[in-house]
Amino acid sequence: MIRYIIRRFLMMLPVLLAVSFVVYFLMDLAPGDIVSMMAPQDATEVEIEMMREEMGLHGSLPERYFRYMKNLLKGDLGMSLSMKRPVVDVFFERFPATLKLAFGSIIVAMIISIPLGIAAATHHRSWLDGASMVTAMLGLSMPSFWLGLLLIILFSLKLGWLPSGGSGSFASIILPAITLGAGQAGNLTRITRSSMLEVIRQDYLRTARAKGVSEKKVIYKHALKNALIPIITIFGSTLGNALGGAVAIETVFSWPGVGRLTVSAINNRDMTLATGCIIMFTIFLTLTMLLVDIAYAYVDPRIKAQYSK
Amino acid sequence: MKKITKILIGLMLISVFISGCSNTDKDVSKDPGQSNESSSETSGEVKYKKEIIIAIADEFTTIDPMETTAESNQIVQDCTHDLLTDTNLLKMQNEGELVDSWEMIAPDHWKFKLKENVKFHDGTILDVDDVMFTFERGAEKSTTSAYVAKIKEFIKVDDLNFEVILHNGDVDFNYVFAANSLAILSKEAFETMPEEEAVKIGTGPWKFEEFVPGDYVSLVRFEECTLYDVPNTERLVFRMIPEASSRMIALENGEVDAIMSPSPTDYNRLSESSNLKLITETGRGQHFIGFNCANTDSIVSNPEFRKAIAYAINKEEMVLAAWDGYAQVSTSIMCRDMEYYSDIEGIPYDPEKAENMFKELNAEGITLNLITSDASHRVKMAENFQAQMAKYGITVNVEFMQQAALIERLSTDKSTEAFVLSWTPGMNADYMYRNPIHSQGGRSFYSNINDLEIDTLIDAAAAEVDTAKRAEMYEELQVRLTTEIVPWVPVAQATLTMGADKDVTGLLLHPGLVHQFKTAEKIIN
Repeated sequence: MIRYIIRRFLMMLPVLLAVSFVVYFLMDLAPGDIVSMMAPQDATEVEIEMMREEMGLHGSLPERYFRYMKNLLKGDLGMSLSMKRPVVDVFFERFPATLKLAFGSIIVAMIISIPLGIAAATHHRSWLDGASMVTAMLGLSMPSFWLGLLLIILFSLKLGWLPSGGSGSFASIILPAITLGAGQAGNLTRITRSSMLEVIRQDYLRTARAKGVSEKKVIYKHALKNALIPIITIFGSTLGNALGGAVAIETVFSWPGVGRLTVSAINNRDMTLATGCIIMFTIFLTLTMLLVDIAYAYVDPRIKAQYSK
Repeated sequence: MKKITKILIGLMLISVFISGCSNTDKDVSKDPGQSNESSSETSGEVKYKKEIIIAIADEFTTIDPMETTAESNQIVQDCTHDLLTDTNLLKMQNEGELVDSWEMIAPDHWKFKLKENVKFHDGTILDVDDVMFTFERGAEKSTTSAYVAKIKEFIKVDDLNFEVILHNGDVDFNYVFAANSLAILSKEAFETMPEEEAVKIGTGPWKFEEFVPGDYVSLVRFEECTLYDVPNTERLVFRMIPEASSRMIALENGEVDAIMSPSPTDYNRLSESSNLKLITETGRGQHFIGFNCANTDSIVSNPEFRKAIAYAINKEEMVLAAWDGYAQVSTSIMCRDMEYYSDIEGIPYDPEKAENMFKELNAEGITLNLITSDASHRVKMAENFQAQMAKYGITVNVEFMQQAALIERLSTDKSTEAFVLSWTPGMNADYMYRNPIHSQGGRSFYSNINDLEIDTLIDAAAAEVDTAKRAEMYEELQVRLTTEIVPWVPVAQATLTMGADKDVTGLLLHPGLVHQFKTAEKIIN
């Protein structure tokens, strides 16, 4: 198992190298120059060159990339060109808010999807199954931007129960977490349903029923235990979607997360900040996937046995 | 099942832990609008709301005036820091802010006297050493070095008086001190505090309190302020709400007291509401259709063609299309509220004359390439221009791009023919002409006029001490550029807008976009 974890860590290096290469070069290829955007209107050519030098944007593209990578290997993601502060500081100021929203949305998704998925599977081909699937499809197909605004109008403007934005109180996370969680809930409901349907047809459940175990116990103790295993595996990708898909939600709810920061960095051509944010996201997602794999092995002895080989 | 339950509980604990961590650096009770929405205090018999919250669209990033020229930062910095001179928004003229008086001994020799007993937030009193320190720091910063570089010698006469000798004569030098990035900093604060703390110390009526990146920046009133009356409001908060409809909702449900840049679709709701109001002010931004006059491969290098376009454009129609009528049609390339503006007729809308001119130039059936950014009003201006030109048999191909890409194309692509852009100058006339028109001017020289006569006239007007003669020169520049050379067809000066609770006062829209909130307050009935 430990060898597997070490191998996974080593695999992160080429991924990070490839991501940094692609992002850095794409950002450079994008038309637009941060120096032109930031320099005062009456700045002379000499002053513009001075700014370029100050920002570390002098030299050819390969030169700049190698300079960037050299610093990156020392753990230095550089200074944000637009904010004039270390990228790491800027990123970690905003990252907790993004994580909070991502986890909040996953909790919302689980609260909705697990009961709904179980109900759909145990009442297969009934009206409850149909209703659950329609609800799941609604969650999947509703644009989060639109749903967010509707929720704000209802709960904030009409009822006045919740704040329309910000991040200072517990109440302020409820609407963004529901908006982001709704889409994920749709996906998770479908997976829970299909996973449950597969499990409840297994022989061991028929045996349990034959032995007189109550239906409630059969479903919640024996079936759900095994049906939840695949759900853990999609936790990583759901978290990835929650992080990546949070940009629109962060904008609608004025949530101070990294998604908004990254988009703003790209629009402002703040190459170091945009590249730094994407590299940090990649590290976080790779680690999450690794944790999910370890957790999978923990709950499923068959997988653990494979790692042991 | 137990293992899975443990994992799920673990995930929930992680999220709770993260929530806890993210709040450690701020007092939740300080969160804007959460604790004291209805609190008030008494000043005489009038009760004022304790906290005013302004929703801004763009991100605030730093309190250091020398680090950035972004308006979202300068709006906040304007509350905490002061300039030597500034625009009085009620009179629309350049006046002393920290400076009591000034005198131009010669165009290259100026004398200034500071106001007495102006207190910084750290309790120290402003003197000439603070001004000198600010300029020394500014010489090393890219946002200010160009201004400081104008100064050849700085002479301290005493604690309140100083003189500056310039490398070149500049009769508008007082405007240089109105640059927001040259806000005066406390020398003593930099000597006794870390730089990141010292930059927060200014002389403004508001003191920096807290900044939560991406969320809000809060200021508290400076109780010992000597330069202004102490504000009646205790706390001023700028909340960052990027989405226009979210800002509007936050205003409607009372979470914020004012919003910057409401969506044009909400203008009627704001002005017709019994609780809200729409504040408007004509902006100094000149929106125009520009031409690359140096592109000799294109018909746009012919001034007669550019004039014909000016006759062909129905500006009223374009204003309705791009701003729902919330803009003032321009007749001159110069902006209305600037010094030395003359109310000239310009080139009026005359479709018949335009048609005849296009026929004479064999311009019917040609294709014109136009580039602009993806900002909503520019897209609408470009589309309307396209539709209007189609009536004359001219096809306009429009290419939209991000602002950064547009600036790069305009600076580097010699094949550019036409573009939609805007230009927001300062109040002084020289700045207006030098940057976009003078061939040795600033970076906005996208029309590439390269007209030596015009350059000479701009230089002569800048050096002229006699104001009457100067006014004549600027009028000549206005007429020649607007009606003869036509590097741009000026379309309109857009109306700046802000939405606010009807009882909030002291919100001043700045035509140059650095809006002022120094006296923002709300009387509670």
